[in-house]
Amino acid sequence: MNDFKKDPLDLLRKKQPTDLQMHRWKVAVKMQFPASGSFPVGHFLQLTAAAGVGLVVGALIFGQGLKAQPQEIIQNAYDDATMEVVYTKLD
Amino acid sequence: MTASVNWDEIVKSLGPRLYRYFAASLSDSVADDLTQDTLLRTVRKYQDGQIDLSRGTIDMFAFGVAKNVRFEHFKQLRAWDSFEESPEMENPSPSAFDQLSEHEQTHRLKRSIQRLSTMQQEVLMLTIDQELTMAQIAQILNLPEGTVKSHHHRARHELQRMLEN
Repeated sequence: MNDFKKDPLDLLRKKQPTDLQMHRWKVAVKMQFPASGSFPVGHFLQLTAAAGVGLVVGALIFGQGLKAQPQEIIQNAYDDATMEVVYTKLD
Repeated sequence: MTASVNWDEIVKSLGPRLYRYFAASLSDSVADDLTQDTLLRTVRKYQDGQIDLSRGTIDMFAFGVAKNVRFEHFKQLRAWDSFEESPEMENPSPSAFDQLSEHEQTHRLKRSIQRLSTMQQEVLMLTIDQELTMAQIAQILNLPEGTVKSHHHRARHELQRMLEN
């Protein structure tokens, strides 16, 4: 039973962390350093999606802006117009 | 430079080794916390460009960080004055010792290691990790290799004496 007759440190060399501990350490390191030495695919996808949404939203706004433009010009023309009222006394 | 390091692989290979290093003299839960702390500090140092891989392997740097983490832990313990010897494990009689389970033997081994001098503890704990050579341990501890060997020899002798008594 007494293992100390051999190498006492062998008892300590048997120690192994659990899978849960290993997983926790990996997650902690990933959060600290997300690149983890590999190509950051997650970030690339996020950027692509954001750019796509930006383009769609931009196109919608720009499209609406083009449609709204002639109406605005007419409105402005009305606003700036001077009105001449001629009163004519007939009798 | 940062792209050449695969941290998943490093945690997988280095995590258990650091855990054994800490668990040699501390409880499993503390060893768990300090292992994570060491891994995070190593990553941070690497990010900050403080680790020059031309001067050694990442394992060696990580064990160097582990040494400091352990010292800091004991410094805090001393500050809190909470580090006490457990009287029931202090001097078990040889006959009682034969009856000890593996868990209790491990516990006694840890207590014996804690009674060694700081440098003897450090050398002994680094030799638990059989992947580190004496030359690497000397580099981690910033000591000449001969001094490390001498500390190791004395630590083994002292440990054996404590365990046999």
